[in-house]
Amino acid sequence: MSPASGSVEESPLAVTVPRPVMNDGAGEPLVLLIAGDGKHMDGYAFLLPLLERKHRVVTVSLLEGWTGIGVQLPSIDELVGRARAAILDLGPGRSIALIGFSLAGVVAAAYTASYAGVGRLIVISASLTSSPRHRAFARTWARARALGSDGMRDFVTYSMLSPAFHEDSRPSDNAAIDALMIDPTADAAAAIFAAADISNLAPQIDVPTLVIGCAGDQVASVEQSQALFAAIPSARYSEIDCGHAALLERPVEVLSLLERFLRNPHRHAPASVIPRDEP
Amino acid sequence: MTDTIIVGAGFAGVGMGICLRRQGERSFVILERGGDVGGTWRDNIYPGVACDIPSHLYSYSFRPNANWSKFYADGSEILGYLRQAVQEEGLLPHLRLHEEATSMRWDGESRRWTVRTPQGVYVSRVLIVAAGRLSEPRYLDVPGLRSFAGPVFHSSRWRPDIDLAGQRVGIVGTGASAVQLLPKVAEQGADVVLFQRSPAYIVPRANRTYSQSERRKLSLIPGALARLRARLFWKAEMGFAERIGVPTFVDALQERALGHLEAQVSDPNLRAQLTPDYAIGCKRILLSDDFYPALCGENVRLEPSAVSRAEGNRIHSASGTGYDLDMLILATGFKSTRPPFASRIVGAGGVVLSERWEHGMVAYASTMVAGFPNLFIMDGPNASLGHNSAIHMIETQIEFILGALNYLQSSESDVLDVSRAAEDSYTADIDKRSASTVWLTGGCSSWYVDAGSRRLTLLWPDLASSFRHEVGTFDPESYMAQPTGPVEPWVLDAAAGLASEVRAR
Repeated sequence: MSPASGSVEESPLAVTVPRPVMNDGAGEPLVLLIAGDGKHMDGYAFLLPLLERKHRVVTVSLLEGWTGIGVQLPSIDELVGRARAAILDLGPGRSIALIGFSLAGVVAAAYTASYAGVGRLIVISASLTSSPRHRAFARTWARARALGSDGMRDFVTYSMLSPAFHEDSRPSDNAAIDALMIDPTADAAAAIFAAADISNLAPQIDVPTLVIGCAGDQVASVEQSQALFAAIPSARYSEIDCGHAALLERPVEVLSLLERFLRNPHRHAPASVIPRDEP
Repeated sequence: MTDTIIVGAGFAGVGMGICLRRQGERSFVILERGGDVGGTWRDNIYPGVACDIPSHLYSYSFRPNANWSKFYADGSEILGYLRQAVQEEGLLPHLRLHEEATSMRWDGESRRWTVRTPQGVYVSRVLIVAAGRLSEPRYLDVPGLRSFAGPVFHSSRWRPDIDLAGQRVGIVGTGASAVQLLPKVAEQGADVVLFQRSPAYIVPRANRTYSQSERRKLSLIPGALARLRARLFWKAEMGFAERIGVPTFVDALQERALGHLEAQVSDPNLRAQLTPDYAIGCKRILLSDDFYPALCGENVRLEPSAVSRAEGNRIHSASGTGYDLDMLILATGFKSTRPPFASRIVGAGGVVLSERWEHGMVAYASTMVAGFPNLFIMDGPNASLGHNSAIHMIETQIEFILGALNYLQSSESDVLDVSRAAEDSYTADIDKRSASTVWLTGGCSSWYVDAGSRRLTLLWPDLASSFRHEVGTFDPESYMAQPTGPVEPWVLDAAAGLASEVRAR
């Protein structure tokens, strides 16, 4: 992968406004930011239908239409702009709950710092700043892509999932692992994520926020998720015992945290660490 | 007089007793109709009996056991675990064996429950019914069965005295018990016939033993047991996606089940007979690696219809085939949605619980019924699961009950009753959540659904984690706690006197 190389053309993202997809649930819409395109939705295969049982959910694919060939990587600002266009499409003056995982989490946080209208923010497996480790991850991702699908699958398995996940995974999990890396948007997401820095924006977020970190996160790193929590004055923090791909490893634990936070965002005070469930 | 009576010494009753005792409570008794603790695991001793939930999840979180021998434990190991818990937690002095609660009656004047057993009378402020959902066998009722020439017994009333060797054995049913016992019966019986009304979806069990080093690791590393339990729990929670019809998950599960059938049964006719015609998850999904191979054995036959009548030692099926058999094992399940204990409970105003539940079981927070003050029902309405551990549900109910008891202790009131409006609202929410689940839409008939009302009355129609967060915390605002003055001493004396008088007889 090297979407940043080659001749620089106008980003197709500037002309394509992502189309929000909404179900018919009631209440304040949840806006789920998706880092990849439609195919990448497989990463949300569990979370989305369960959220839709009880909420009105809008999905916005930030990198829809990204081809990865000969175009410059979009910046965080551009992705925030795409999110803005999609959210404006929902109608003016709406309060929304914004949810994002990994890169989309970073974008969700940057969006919330930049625009009014977000009632609640939920950020999963995201980071505050770029680090040498993040950049090494992105470079290794690109090298693994060059090795073909087997090499890529091995790298994703190694980097995005916790060791414990493999102890009781099933063959059907392979399809879900493939969904983490299936198309060029995943390559773009990895590269943009590795370079992202929202340390200037995070302190400006003043809406009730839930930051979910993953104890075994080898991509964002749990330290970065904790740093993000610490940088957002209105944030609460909860930690899950899994790798970066929380939506694949522990989707119900994520869902459980989301649902409780959405039902009552003030149950825990800002700057609280929410205790882990002990089943 | 005791403060609390618990009826039943299975997982729920024993767990409740342990938590009460750990809180320092000593004024409680556990009435158990049998001669041992263990409930389901005491009753079900048929060959092959085992659990379908991982051992480290099917045990109390407050009594983790590093030494489970297998991923899925056998019934006898679970029974041993419960016996040990009773001993080590000091429950023996509270335990009253062979005391079957035949009548449980609320007295509004003394604000006490009176529980009668054939041996005596017990009076208490609080009654916790933990009588189980797999306690009362459901028997086959077909013409001629009583005059059948050989033994007829339910799988949960196993007859170890009967030798299966060389016998012609009929097994009725294809639920969890039948699937576990058929391979064992087939090892001994000369001719085994399985009567199947409708086939089950079966997925590989893939059980395995825990190695010595795995067990040592779990016992030596702080937090390792809790981590393993959490991992198993959240993994099991994902099974709920199949129950609400999320296509990706339903398809993968169905593929797994039908692929298992195809891999193990080569005869296309038999395979067709074993292929369910309803949505996966509608009935309990079973786990077995030896059921299909046993069915393919030369001494085993599948009768793809129900038993219709018996005549001498001949059993006739609905499809018109007759089988000469020496004995009949009824693996026909339990009376779960209409528990017999309900006809023995009389609440305020003389209302009998079974009449109150005429249209199916209902309870606020799956635990309390309006008009039945200070009564807590465990494993009752909408408190079971189709996808995760029953013990997690039991522990949620324990948390709720402890919260209620602590509230009673700290407040002015000694009577706690839920309002009918709160109960109705809870029930309406349950119905709303149930509507889209496979249990009501999957096109099957199952023991999860009340046969009369067609309401889902047995299962909690959501995640186990939601049950914990929505129901596990007692909130006094939702209840009609009734602040009342002290009861006149003579009323209490009279109630206590009745108890001691009858016990002395």
